[in-house]
Amino acid sequence: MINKNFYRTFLISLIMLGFVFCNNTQLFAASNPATNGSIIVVNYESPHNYTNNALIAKTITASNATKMRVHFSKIQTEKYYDYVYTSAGDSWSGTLEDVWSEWYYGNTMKVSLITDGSTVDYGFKIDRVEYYISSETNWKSSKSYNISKIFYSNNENQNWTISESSAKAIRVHFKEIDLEQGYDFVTITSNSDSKIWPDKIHGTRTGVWSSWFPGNSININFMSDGSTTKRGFIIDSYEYMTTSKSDFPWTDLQFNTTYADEINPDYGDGGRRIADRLNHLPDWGQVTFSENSYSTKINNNSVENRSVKVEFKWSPKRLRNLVRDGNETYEFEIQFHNQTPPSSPSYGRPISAFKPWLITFDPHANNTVTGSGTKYEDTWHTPTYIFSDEQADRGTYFYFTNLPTRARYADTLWSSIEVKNDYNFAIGIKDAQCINPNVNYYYEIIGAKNANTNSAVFGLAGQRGYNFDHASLPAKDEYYVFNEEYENSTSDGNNEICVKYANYTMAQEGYWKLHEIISQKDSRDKLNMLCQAGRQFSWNSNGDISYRNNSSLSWSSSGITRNWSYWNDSWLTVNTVLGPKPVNK
Amino acid sequence: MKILSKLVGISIAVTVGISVISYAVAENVELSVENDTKTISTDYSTVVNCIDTISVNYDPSGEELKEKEKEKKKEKELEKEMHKKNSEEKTAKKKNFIKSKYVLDGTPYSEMEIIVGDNQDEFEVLESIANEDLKVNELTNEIVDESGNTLIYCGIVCENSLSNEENLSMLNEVTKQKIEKEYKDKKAKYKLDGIKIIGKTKNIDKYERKELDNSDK
Repeated sequence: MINKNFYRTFLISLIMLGFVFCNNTQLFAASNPATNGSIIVVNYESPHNYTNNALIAKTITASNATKMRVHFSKIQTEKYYDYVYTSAGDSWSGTLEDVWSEWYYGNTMKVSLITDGSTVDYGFKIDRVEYYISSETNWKSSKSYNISKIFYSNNENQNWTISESSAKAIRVHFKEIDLEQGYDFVTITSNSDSKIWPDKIHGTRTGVWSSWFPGNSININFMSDGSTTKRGFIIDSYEYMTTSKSDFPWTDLQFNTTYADEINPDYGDGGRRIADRLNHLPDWGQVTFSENSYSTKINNNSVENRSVKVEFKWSPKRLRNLVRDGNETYEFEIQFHNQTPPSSPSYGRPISAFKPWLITFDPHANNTVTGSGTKYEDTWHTPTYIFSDEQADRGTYFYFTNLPTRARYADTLWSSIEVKNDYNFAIGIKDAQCINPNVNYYYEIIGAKNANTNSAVFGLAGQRGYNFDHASLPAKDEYYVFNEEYENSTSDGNNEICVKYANYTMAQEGYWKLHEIISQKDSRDKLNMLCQAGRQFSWNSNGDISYRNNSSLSWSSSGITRNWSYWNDSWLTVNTVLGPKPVNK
Repeated sequence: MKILSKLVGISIAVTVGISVISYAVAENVELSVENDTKTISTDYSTVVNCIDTISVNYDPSGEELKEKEKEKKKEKELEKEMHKKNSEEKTAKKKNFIKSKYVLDGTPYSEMEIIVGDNQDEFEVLESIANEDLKVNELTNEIVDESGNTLIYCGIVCENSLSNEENLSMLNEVTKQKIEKEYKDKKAKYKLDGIKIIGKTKNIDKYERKELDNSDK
C-alpha cells in the first residue's frame, strides 16, 4: 500500500524538477535559418534518476519551424527495458552520448521516456534543438512493424518481406540489435533490384536505421551460425518514401557518377553526415616511424627497411557516428607524398622532404632501394599472372595488425597509377561493424627505406565508405567505393568535406579535408611535422596534434589543433547538395 | 537520487493546496507543466519552448505491469542460460577455402581467399596451389598464444615475380622476429592462416566456389 503523501511530495518534486531542469535556453549558432538550421542551446532533462512505471515526456515546440530535431548530450536507461522515444521515430535504451534524433517534419516534437517496474537510471538530457524555417515538407511515411528474435537459437534461418506498393524506397528501424559479431546476421536486400548491395547487420547497437533500399519491397533474412547466441533483435517500424523530391541523396549531380545510386542510395551521404556533425574520426591515435627494426631479406638480399605503426581507438559515440548502416567500410591511410621537388627549399623544408620516406620493396634490389616515384614493375605483368592495370597497385611489403580477420584488407596505391603523387598504405576495414569501442587497433607496415630521403612530408587520413559488390560495378580500381576521398575540393557536386585550416585564410590552400588528421600542409613552417625514424605523433579527441622525437621523451604540442569540439558552420565547407553551405557574415 | 531526496524534503513545506492534483497522479492522470517560453532565435520570430508531461504508474492496467515484470524475470533467466550455453560451446573448425568468381563487363575476373584449416599443412596447401599454377598475392600468418588465442596477424603483400614458397619464407622470417621481439613471454606460435588470390589468374576457375560456412570461426 503506497502512502498518498508520497505521491503528494513526489508530485511537487516533479514540478520543481521541471522548473529546475527546463529553464535555460540561449542562442548558440547564429546563421541564416532560411537556408541553414538554427541551433538553440537548451536544458531539457528528465528527472535524475527517473522513476519506475513512468511516462516522462517533453513536448518541444519551435513555433514556425518546418523541420526540427533534438540533440541528447546523454541517454542512460536500463538497457532493453526503459526506452527513450521521439516522434521522429527514434528509440534508444542503454548508455549513449552525443546523439541527434532524426529530423521531425513539423514544429512540435515529443520526446518520451517510458520505464518499466524495476531498476531506474539517469534518464536523458537534451542540450540542443535545431530547426529550419525554410520551406520543407515531409517526404517519408512511417509504419509500425514488429519483427523480433529474442534469445534466438543456433542455425536459425528465417525470412520476412515488407512491401509498400507506392514506395520509391524503404528502410527499417532496429529498436535493438544484439547478434554475435561477425557470425549471426540480419541481411536486408531489395526485392526490386538485385544490384543493390545488402545491409548485413550484426553486433550490438540500439536505435539504428538501416540503409534506404530503392524499390517497393525488401527482404529481411535472419541467419545464425552453429554456435554462440546473443539476445537477438527487434525491428519496430519502417519508413518509406513515395516521392523522389526529398533530401534523400540520389541525384547524379551529387555523386558525380551515374551508378552510385544504383548500388546504395546512401552512397555520398558524407554531406548529410557532416551537416549532422557526425565526426567519425578515431578519438585517439598515435603514429610511430622506425628504421631497421626488423631484418628483411628480400629474394635473399638484405634490404634496409622502414616501418610505420598506426594505432587508433574509437570512443562509443565516435564509433556510433561511423557505423550508421550495415555495410560501412573504413580506411585509415598513411600517405608518403612523392611530389616534384621544388628548385629550392619550400616553406623551410629541404628538397628531399618531397620524396616518399617509405616505399615498397624491390624484389631484385641489393641493399639499397631508391624511390623514383615509379612503381617496381617486376615481372608481375606477365601474361600468366596478368592483373588489370587498376589492380596492379600493391607490390611487396609486410604488415602486422590486430584488426579482425576477414574484416580487413590490405590496400596500397602506387604513385604511377591512381594517386600519382602518393605512396599510400592502409589496412582497410571491410565491415566497420566488426570494430569495438575503446579497443586499441593498429597496423604496422614494413617497407623499404628510400635512400633518397631521411625526413619527409606525410599525411594521415581516415576515409569512410561503403562496401559494394564489385561484381556489380563497372571495372573500377577499387573494390571498396569510398565517398570521402575526392581530391578536388573546389568543384560543386563532389562529396568533399573541408574544415578551415587553422591560421590560414579561406583560400583553397587554407582548407583541409575532414578525413585528414595530419596533412602535409602541417609541415609548412613546422619541420617537426616531417616524418623520420624514431619520431612519433599523436592526437586526441579534439584533434590536437603532439609529437616527440623518440619514445623516451615527453610529448610536445605541435601547435596544431583541429578544434573538433567547436565545429560550426563557419568552419565547415560541404560541396554537396546537402548540408549547410558556408555563410557570409 | 540525492537531488530528488532533497527536493522531496523541501516540497513537504509547500504541500497545501495541491492534494487534488496529487490524487489525480495516483490515479494515473497526466500532469502537465508548462515552462520555458523564451523567445530567442536568430530570426527573432521563432519561439522554442518545452512542456513537461509526467505520468506515474504509467499503465492503465496494474495486471499488465505485473505481467511485464514476470516476463522480465523470465528474460533474465534466459540470459543467464544463454551465457552458460555459450561458454560451453566449443569453437568450430575453420573451413578450407572461400572462392568468389565474378564477371565484370564481360571480362572474367576472380578472387579467391583460402582459409587454411587448423589441421592442414601449409606447405601442402601451397603445393596444391602451385600445381594449379596459381599465383598468390597475399599471405597471412596468425600468431597465437599458448592457449591458441589470436594475438596478431602478420602478412605479406607479394605482387611480385617471386614464387609462392619464396614469399612465404620471407613472411615466416619476419613473423619469427615479431614473436621474438614482442611475444616471447607468451610462448607464441604461428601458422599460415590466409592465402589470397585476386585477379585474372590462370586456372583459378578450377576451384569450386565454397561460401564461408556458418560454422567457420
